[in-house]
Amino acid sequence: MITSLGSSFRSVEHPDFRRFCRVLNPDAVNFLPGRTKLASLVDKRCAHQKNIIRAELQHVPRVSLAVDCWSSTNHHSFLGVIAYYIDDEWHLREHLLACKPLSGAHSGSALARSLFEVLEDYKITDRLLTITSDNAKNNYKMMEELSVLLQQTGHPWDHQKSHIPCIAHVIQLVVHAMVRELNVQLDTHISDDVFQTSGRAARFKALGRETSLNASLKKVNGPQCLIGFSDGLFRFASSHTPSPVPRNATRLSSTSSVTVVLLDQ
Amino acid sequence: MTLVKDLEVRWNTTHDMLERAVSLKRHILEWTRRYTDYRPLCLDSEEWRNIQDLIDLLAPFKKITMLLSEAGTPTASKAFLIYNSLFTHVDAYIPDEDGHVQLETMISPDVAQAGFDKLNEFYRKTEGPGGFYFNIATILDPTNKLKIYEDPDWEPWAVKYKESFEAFIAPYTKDAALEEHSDLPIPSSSTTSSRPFTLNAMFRAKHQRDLDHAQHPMGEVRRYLAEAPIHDQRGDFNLLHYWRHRATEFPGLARAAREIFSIVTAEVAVERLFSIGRDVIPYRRGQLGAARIEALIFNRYYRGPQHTEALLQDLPPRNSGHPAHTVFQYALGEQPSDIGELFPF
Repeated sequence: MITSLGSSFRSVEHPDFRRFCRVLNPDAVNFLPGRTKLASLVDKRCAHQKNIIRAELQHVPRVSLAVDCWSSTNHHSFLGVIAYYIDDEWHLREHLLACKPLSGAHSGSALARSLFEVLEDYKITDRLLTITSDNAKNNYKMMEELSVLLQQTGHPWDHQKSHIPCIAHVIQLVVHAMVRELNVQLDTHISDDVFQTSGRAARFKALGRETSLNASLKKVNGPQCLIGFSDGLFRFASSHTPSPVPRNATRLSSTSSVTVVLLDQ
Repeated sequence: MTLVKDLEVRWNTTHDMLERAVSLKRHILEWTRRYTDYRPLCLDSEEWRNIQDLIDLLAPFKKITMLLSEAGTPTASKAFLIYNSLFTHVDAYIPDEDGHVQLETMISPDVAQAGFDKLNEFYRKTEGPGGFYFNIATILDPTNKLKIYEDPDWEPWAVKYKESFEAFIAPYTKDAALEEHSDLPIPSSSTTSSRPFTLNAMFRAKHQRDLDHAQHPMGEVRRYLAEAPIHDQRGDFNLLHYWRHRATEFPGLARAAREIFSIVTAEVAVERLFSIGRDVIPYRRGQLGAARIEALIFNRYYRGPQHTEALLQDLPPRNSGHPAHTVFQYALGEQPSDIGELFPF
């Protein structure tokens, strides 16, 4: 529960939490873990899970991976590695292998070394089929370096054949290319237009006279920014069953009245 | 339901924003009518039509992203088809040599062209080694086999792809054939022709033929390709089921299929993993070390009774009624099965 809620380990020692547990079971205080114990439990479970996967991967003919990097808000970087294989029952299985902390630069060779360590850890260097990743340059470099490392261990791996560029990323790049061609910078531009109240009416008027697709888009995005940013007032379950919205004097009056207008219908 | 904002960093928000705006059109119109300041933001019917055109342009991209995000079934055999369908889609916006555009739309051909070029940039990579496994998977998909390559557009590749498939499959079918006939002596083929014609030799020769036939790397492939592709009428064809059921008939191909269909075409699962990561690191947990974060992510990823069972082995026996069980299950993020004992009253 602690891990699901994303609360800190310390919360298990919070007096209220302990009281809550005592209500549920008067005996609870006797075996409720402290924060150190809980943290070690989490570590233990992680290690245990890795052992299970390690054992499971041993009798799988070939394994494919999906790999990506991520930087957390507290400045740690990770290499996420997910394995795919088809089990004896012909089900496609997906397993998290690692979310490996990275130190230093995300250079292709550093990534390749980290990934290689993961492969060795799970003893699948000999059965790697493909790796799917996004189209970032360092990923191409990583595949190249990885094939060198694999070659050295006697398991040649053709990175040109076996690097699968993520189609979802390709699709997003295509969509971005098209939206860029439309010449609309919806996000920042219209927000400025909307929030700088001085001269807003005039700007809107100018926009109103335009009839390009671009202008239409801005017009549509206008209300979305305005309403989205003000607060959550502009919520209604559906156009037919508006949910009651509390009015609050401290909130933007315009939004409230907008809501009221909408609720009137 | 609320309006959706367009964000550059998130996928498909342009599409979602427009689609939601259209579904809330009535309210937006009402809103812009009541407030003079916002009145210029009111769209006329032609503008709404333009918006619809743009939605139509973006919709297939959105749909494919959604389909790729649904895990559980292999998608490698669909990669070529996905690219093909997107090309066909944007092509309809681009004038042909005679200046004809298939679609009546407000979308400028330049926009579609930009999409086409970007698509092509990545698609070109699949023409070389990058498309190797996509090809194998495509042919191993019994709803397709060689079907898409029969299209004239594919002509330059059709033969090459079939050959590359056969070359890839050969070791698999050969291994499978050898295993099946491992009880037979393997005569060396160079000496058989000079043998005297005896009854013994005749049976030997038949053995040899059987073996040759089985060993012929393409025997299995020929049989497989000779069967017409399966027509997936309801769209729920499961190719893993197919290979499971045909595994004795096509042992080599099935073995290859089991390996090939582990290939994933999109790494959406890793993106999903990182959203778990964002959940376990709220802003006040700055002290968490990287290794601990990995452990937390593992705990979240492998949530569910099947995963904790093993861990609980260290605790008092499950049915001992020891309350530690239930509390540990809670601590690990699960619903204890025997919740009753937590509520003795």
